[in-house]
Amino acid sequence: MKHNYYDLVVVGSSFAATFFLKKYLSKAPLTAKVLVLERGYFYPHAERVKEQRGETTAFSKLNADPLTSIVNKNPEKEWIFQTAFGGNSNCWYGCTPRFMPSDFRMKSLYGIANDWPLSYDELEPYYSQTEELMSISGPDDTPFPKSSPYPLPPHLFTTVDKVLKKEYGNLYISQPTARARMAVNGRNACCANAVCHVCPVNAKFTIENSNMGVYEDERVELIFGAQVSNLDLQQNVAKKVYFVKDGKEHQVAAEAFALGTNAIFNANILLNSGDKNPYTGKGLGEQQGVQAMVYLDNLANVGGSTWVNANGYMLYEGDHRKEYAACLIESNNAPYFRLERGKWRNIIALRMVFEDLPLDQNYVATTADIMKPEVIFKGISDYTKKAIVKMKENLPGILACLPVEKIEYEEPYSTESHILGTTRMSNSAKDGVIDKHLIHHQYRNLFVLGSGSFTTYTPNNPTLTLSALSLFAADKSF
Amino acid sequence: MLRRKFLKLTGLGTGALVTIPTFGFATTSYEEAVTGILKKEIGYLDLDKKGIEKFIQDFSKDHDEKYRLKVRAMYLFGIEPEHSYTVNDIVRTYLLSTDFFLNQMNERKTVHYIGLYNPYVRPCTQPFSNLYYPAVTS
Repeated sequence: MKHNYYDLVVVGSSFAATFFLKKYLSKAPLTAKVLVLERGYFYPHAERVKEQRGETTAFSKLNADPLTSIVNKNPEKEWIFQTAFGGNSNCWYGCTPRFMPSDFRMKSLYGIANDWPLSYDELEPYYSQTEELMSISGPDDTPFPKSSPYPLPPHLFTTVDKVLKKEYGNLYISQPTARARMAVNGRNACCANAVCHVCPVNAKFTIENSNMGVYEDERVELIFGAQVSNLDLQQNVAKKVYFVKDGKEHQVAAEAFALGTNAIFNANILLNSGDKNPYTGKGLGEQQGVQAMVYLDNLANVGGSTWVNANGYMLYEGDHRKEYAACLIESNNAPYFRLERGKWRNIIALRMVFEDLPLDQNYVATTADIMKPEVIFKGISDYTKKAIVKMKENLPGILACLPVEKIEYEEPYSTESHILGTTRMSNSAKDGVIDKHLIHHQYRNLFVLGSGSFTTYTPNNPTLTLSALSLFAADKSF
Repeated sequence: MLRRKFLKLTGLGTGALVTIPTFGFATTSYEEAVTGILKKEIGYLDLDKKGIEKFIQDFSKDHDEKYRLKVRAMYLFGIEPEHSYTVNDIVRTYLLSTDFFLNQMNERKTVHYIGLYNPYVRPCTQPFSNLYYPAVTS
């Protein structure tokens, strides 16, 4: 380390940490001293593509295996994440719908769980900034209000999407996505390869290709291979952070700290530090997805330009959310087909994604190994289970505008690759861990970033919102 | 009882099959089994014979002897793709690795093998995408 004391220490280098830093650096003085502690290492995109081709690369063994980084007490429930520089930006699929305004007011509107401590309107300018930084492709006619157009044009519908668009208007839109519609900012245009975890053509936004200038900033010192275990919390202030690098223990003091790992490790660090907030680690969850394979008569599903071509909001908004969860529909454009003569592509895969709620039965706990948290997930809520039943009743009617032969449902997915809610946001410590500026209710110089902050778990993909929250928090706090 | 129905009912359509030796099993090679599966399932298409041979060569590189035994058994017992992931996978992988979908599913054209479908080797070859259906735009 270059210094003994920093203005800001950030733990992690994924979306939450990077967008927080981006805003912080835009406001901090030129003399600011920032330290970033990243447990993983840089694994360049080009080397990841080589690995996918079956070629050997020295980078493939650098980063810890996520599966052995936690103790998962329920192996049927998967938790997907990466421990490398750039975190989950390396493996995400680039879906970036905004939340709906109602998602922030679940208690007020539906009597469910809690309201978020901030509104859609407060976050809206930061959604726009995030979309600009990520060069998001998207349509003009969205079901959520927008103050600015998407930076890139929307992706193209398939023939089936077009029928649904005609029927449902702005409830069926080209999916807003970080898979670029056209070449931009060093990225190529997406061409629907549908293997987005490592994009073959480098079309999706990642921290590596972001060109945000965060880690090149002279004020920022980035240390790889530095795994944080806990914080020194004294008299309602975070004083130091403890970490291990190359097998040796280190500590560093700072004016402010920002935890930007994922919702499992942020909670583990807080619990290891003695945080007694009753919600810390509690309510671990995510959305629940179910695949519907819709067989069509005499309509080939062709012509889309990306992986998820469209989002449908036909089962999302409404008073039904007093009783059961909202559902967001994803129109999937992977190269699936029927083995039936003359009907090869007369099929569409719709991923039905349901919101869920934080439950105390699902949580993160510490173990004897301070670096290795235990993850307990006993199941999704009845609120979500009921929505799945209702969806199966309602989907045939929703799809009546299509020549449907039959609908087959697959088993619910074991993961949507999101990790939410272990440090939920609230107006006070009575209902949560952090405030709307992502600052810990008790430790006022400690930010806890990322999707762990979510008060409820809307059906939408979390990355755009957690990145906008980081911009919002840094803008309002510095 | 029909053999196919029996297999379905007893579950022998899966792994248990590989333990049943028959005369056909001893004389049918893995290559013949893959070819037989393709001809049985999509033989109504004009399949390029040399292309099938090359496909089998490429496809087999990542599959061990146990897998090959399984494929031979699946073929000999006439297991349908809807009852076997293995059979389903062979037919789907073959078709995606040909120009059949790139030719917009034209069943009258000869189907040529291009190379194993792999977006990391040949990006932008998703055959249902807008690149291959330029007339279909939003």
